[in-house]
Amino acid sequence: MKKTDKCPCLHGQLKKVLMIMKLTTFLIFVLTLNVFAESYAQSTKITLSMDKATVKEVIEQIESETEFYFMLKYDDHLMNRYVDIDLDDANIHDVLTQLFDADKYNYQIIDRYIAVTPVEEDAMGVADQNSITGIVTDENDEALPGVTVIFKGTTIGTVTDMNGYYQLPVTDGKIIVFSFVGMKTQEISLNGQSKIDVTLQADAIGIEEVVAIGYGVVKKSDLTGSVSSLNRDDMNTTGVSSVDEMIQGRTPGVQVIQSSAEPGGGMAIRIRGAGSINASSSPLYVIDGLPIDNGQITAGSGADIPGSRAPRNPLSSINPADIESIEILKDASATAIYGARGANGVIIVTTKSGKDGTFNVNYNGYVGTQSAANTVDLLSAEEYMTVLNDILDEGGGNPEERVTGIQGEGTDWQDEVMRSALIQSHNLSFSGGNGKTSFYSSLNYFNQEGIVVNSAFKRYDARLNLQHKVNKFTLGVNFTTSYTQDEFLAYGYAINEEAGALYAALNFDPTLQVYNEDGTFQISPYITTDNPMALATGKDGFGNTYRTLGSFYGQYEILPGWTAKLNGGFDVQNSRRDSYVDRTTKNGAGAGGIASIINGIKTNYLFEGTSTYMKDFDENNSMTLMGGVTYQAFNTDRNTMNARNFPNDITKTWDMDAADPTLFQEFSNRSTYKLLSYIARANYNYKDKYLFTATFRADGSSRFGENNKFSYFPSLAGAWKMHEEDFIKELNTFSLLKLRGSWGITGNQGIGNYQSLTTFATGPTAIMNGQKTTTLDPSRIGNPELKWETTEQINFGMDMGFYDNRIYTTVDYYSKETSDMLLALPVPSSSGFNSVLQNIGSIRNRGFEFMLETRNFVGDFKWNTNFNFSTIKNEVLDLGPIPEIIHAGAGWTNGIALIKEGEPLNSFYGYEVEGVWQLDDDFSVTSDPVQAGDTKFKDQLTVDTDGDGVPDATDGKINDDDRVIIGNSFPTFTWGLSNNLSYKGFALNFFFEGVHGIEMLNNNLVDSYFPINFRRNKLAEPYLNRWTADNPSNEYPSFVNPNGQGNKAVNTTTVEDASYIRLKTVKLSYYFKLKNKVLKSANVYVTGQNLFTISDYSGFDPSTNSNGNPSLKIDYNSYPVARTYMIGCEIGF
Amino acid sequence: MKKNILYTLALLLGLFFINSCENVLEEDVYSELDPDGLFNDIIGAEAVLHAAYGESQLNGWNGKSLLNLEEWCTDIEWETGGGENRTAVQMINFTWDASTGWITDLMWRGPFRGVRDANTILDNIEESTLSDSEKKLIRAEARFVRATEYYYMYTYFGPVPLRTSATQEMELPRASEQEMLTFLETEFSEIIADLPDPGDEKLYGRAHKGAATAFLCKFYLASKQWQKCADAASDLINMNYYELYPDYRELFKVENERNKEYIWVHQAVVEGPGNNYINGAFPINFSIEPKSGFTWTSNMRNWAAQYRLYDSFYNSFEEGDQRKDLIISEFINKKGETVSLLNANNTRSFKWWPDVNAQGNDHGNDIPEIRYADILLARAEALNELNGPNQESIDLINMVRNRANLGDISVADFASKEELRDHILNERGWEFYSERKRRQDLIRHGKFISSAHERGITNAQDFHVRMPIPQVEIDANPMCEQNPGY
Repeated sequence: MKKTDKCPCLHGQLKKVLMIMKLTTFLIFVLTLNVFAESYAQSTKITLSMDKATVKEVIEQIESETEFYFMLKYDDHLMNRYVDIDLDDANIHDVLTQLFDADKYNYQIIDRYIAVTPVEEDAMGVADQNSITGIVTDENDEALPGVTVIFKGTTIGTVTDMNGYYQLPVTDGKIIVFSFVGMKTQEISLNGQSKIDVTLQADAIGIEEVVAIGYGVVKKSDLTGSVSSLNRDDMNTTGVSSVDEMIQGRTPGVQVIQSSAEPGGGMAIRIRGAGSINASSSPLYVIDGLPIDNGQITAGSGADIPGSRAPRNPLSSINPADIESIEILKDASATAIYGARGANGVIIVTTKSGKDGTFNVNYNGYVGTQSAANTVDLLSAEEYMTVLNDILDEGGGNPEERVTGIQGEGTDWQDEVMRSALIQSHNLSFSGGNGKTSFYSSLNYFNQEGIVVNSAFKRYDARLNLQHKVNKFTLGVNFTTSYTQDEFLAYGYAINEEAGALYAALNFDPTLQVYNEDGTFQISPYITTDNPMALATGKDGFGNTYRTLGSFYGQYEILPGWTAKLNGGFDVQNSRRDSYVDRTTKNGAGAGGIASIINGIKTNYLFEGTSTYMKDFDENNSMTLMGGVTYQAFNTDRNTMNARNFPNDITKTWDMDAADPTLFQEFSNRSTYKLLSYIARANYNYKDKYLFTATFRADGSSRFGENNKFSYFPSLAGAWKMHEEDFIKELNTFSLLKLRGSWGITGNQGIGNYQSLTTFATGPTAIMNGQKTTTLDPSRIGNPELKWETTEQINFGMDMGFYDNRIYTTVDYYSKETSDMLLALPVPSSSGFNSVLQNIGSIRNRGFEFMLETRNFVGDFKWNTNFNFSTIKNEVLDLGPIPEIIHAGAGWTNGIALIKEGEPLNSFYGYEVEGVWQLDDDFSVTSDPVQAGDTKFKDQLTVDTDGDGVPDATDGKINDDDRVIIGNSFPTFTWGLSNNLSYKGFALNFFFEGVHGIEMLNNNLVDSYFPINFRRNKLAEPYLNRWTADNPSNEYPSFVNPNGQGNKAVNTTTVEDASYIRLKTVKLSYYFKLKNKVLKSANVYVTGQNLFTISDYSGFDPSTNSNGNPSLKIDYNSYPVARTYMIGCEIGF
Repeated sequence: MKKNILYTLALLLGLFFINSCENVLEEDVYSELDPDGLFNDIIGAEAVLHAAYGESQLNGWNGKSLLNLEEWCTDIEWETGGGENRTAVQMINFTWDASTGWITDLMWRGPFRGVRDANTILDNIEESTLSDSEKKLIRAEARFVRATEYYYMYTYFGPVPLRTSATQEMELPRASEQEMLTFLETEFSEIIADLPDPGDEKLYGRAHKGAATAFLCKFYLASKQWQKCADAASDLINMNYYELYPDYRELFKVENERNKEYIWVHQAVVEGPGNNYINGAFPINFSIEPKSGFTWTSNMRNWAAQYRLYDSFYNSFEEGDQRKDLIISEFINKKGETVSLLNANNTRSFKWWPDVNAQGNDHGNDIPEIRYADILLARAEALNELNGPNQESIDLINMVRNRANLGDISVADFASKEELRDHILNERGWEFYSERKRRQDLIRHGKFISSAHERGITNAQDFHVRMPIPQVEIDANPMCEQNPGY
């Protein structure tokens, strides 16, 4: 009987490998073993000089100096043999020849595996009568070397040889366990067999894969916190311009909302709801270890260019094709390591790296066409004339405003400003490695035209990721630089003469044609809004943004298991935005051309040192400790110049000095902030059943008040791998059953600069002597007590696997409560200030997250399904002394949202529409000036007649008191469903997204119901079916006197249900089977996006939110969402 | 080697910790100013003073909005169209309430910001190293701005919380009527001595004796302190500085501003903030004003909002009154057709005669807060209240009438104090339409509500003579009581 160590060398090394690689890459690596077997061995030079060392010592030395690791049966005789080694720049073969007597041992090198087997065993012919033998293969019938074969619960075992062959002595053991990294562990009960062949299956769910958790990685199976991990297969990869789009709909608890569907348009992400009212609720992004500032580089859109609430997406300068994986840290156990920036969740982005022993050239590219997925149904020219004149006849409008004719067939202005647009992306990457140095480099070109004219986004991007190992040093660089070009359409929330093209397209007179006879743009004498095409083409905006983002690290292994790492990084963004309003527009003509140049430079740099210590005390106890200090400083510089009245439109923004010098405007601004933090984390693993994690961060931020510079963010988490317990095993139900629980405290420092200080800033405009003059006034009431918001979160989760993890599910429940909320506490405005920022109040988000992954079919026909589902309940718990806050506006609509204790944040606050006043109604019940055909709002019970404190009667008039909560922007539940089917070379993926129980204010609908003036176009449905004496509709009013009841814009008609189900993506691919030497892989695909949507929403799209803030959905002049069809290919050389 | 690396690492980490003392986290202030020392420099102190003036200047969007707020609820003007209409219907129908945004922002928050800036100056100026004469002037001007803001608010709301220092507690009750009266009287009276004579102010737009005296006079008028009002008016007349501009029709044009009739103005400039009123006065499809030949040009705006005068007001003018010439009753539209505005409550005030150099919304016409004519009619009104119809009142009124090319009235035309009072109210209407005076005049004459009833606004009740204290103030300041009725 041979005593076999549980392969100590292997065990330690495997962990190290796990830290570096993920399952997918590992599998690829295994599959390409044969091709590249020799490269690492050939390229690795070893210098070694040891006298009287045991073989064991030599092996350990080689393992620590190189990436080789040995797989061999423990043999005292061999291990304790003394050898003298003296090698200079030798290759591994020389080492092995000196170490192992060729007569007695065979060795074989497979990349970095070195399998050593005694000669007699390798013969594999004659098995010992008292032994169990067999061959371990993978699903493709390839022999698997290096598989650990062990009697369960013992240390008796072996590893398979090059042929996958193993031999075990017969013992009392009942169960044999076969395990191999990247494969599902298999257990076979002994029943007297002497030959057991085993086929190991690739781990279906990849619970052995490694996920990034911030300042380190952990095996997915050892996670204690709530972390969603997405690799490329789980993401939206085609036709997306930025990182955040890649995860939309893909993971529970993460709401990704498109603020603007324009190319390069902004996205808003909320992880587990909205945890703040006044501070930012956006997650922290960490790209290759560098936390980035995701704020806007430039501010504003230029003089006379309508401002948008949906800012550009700073992440669009990062090439999505470079991204290997994205981890989303959700619970406090996971995010507390990011302390004062962790409260809104953390998104960790890891870019690709080169694989050793390979050299790959990959091209992937696609080209496609986009067109509006939906347009708004407006009155046609004919309908416009009929309906408006009818209303005039009934007493609405002014006689001067009669529609007297249609020029030609009129104009569909939406048609005019929209187009079908091209999208294309080309990505070329080179990657590889020689054992010491690995690299990944890529070039990317992305070009997306907008579906509205004069909007586009282009990106040129290059990346180099480099890693180099010298003995115990590892040095690395991740470096990317990009140039993005924007073409900005003028659109946004501005109205009337300030408005942009999309507002104009919805409001402009459909009876007019685009041009006058002399070729100039027609304008309407009845409304101040300019011709939509004039706005789209005459208000020109261009942006050029340069971004370089780099991180550099050096890691040194001080002792086995103990490493120290220095990490530095920077992010430099430089952006210039030019705009010019030319004389084809009303305003440009009036002002003689209006030009703006806006510059912004945004930088941040990071410097940090961390140290990690890993120790396996014994078989049952292992621990990882990490500690460090990190410093990050942020800087933003901006300036803006405006000029008007140019001699001509030719020089645009390139000759500002040609403008009228008395009309120049200049602004500049600088702000900085700094963070200094200390971090620590401990992971403890007991018996591989009980896992514990504790983290701690001390964060100091310059933004906080003098008295509160530092705070401390702890977290604790535990997990119990119940499937390792016998009583669960006996159930034979679960292949995985893990319970998780966590608690922790995180913070939110996203409050802007200077908020704790009383300073003087540029004040109101004052005109002295006929000229504007400098003014300074106090900016705010400073609050030296100001500090971060504190978010306390608990999370309970359960991971379950069935049928060998072919069904894998995760359920999480969380409750996340933010206290010390940074709230602009209204102060008596008689103080001259409206509010002071204070730490009062609290808000809570609670919800369930559920994720289900199934492998429905696994044979030739494969079918995988991923489903995620989440619920959220947001509640404002405490507003301190403030009874309620009513705020928010859009266009002429104001007081849209209510913040009140016991209600979801930013609930829509308005009037209930009961119907329409009919001719035979009793008008005596109201003192309001209403007539038949007017909207009938519900007169709420507001009068307390019997003095019991409960209102029990109406007051006969509709005023502010009659407002009630009529919805909110938090979905009751959301889900995503992705199916991957493959057969032979074909693969089909389709992805549905669903959002339910959510409301949105449709402010364009408001403009139809409460028109700013008569001669505007309107939504067709309500106007065509409006109330008349002959058509006593109870749904649509007559619109004869639409503003007669004052401003009741927020009501149950205009606040619409924005639930939807959408077929977001369908992708059909074909993978070629390649046998030639030039191409390694090739596939072609066709894909479509936003193919259909089921929704009752009447605007452009229920999924967007041009208000930018996800906790308050307002749709106003939104950029239409595109339906996209693309074809593409991926080719590997 | 290995040890060296270790030491280097330890050193680097160590440096990090040493470097990490607290002052690393000191907040660097770049684009804003530390208040320390700001007031030791005359430029700094004046920058804050200018901010106070800036808050009190009623121009741009705010200026025209405030102007409309005080006319839409009267017998002169109403409004249709545009987003403003949502506020206008409330004002026209007397359904405004404590949540009406314009009241909150323009009548309450704006003035109190001016008060804040003035108080900030007053709190800091004593300790500054400026010279005594500089301190004296700045102090007087800060008090001037503060008093004007309180005067405005007194006319909107009645007494309000009286903040006289920026360091007062946040929650403050409203002053009593008497405290308010005493405060305004004291402030305006006391500063007159420290202010320069009109024309000697450092910059046109800064306070002078004439402005302070005129505000004092107007304050006495608003609070019906007739004798004091008459006296203040005569103080101003006796300065022998001010005079009526010879031609009413030219008075308001941008090229004629800075005349000796304008005692206190809100300046407006085409690069903004300018005078925005005319944008809403242009009728839909407006192209040419036929009498003057004025032609709308593309550097101007013609808003959806339409500021319309009542026919009853248009028709109330006496024959030959040149003041009526600034109201247009017909225009030529873009198709070349002449369109009448009569008989549809649709005549338009072109008092703020379009500025050919307008930049979009902004025209350059300064908006007078107090004109000499206002002072003359104030004294006439005060003397009538004190003595009934009297020659001096009649003479003062005739000065104003003659300038408008109207004949004299005489004492004999008025049988009673009431008759002359009514005439003065009419005279003020004709003289000051589109100048934000009507609401206050109607209230003083006790006709604000009855005139609304005459227009069929049944909703108007006595309490409407005062504006509601904004709900945001009531919510944040429990000591501040709402005006009754709201």
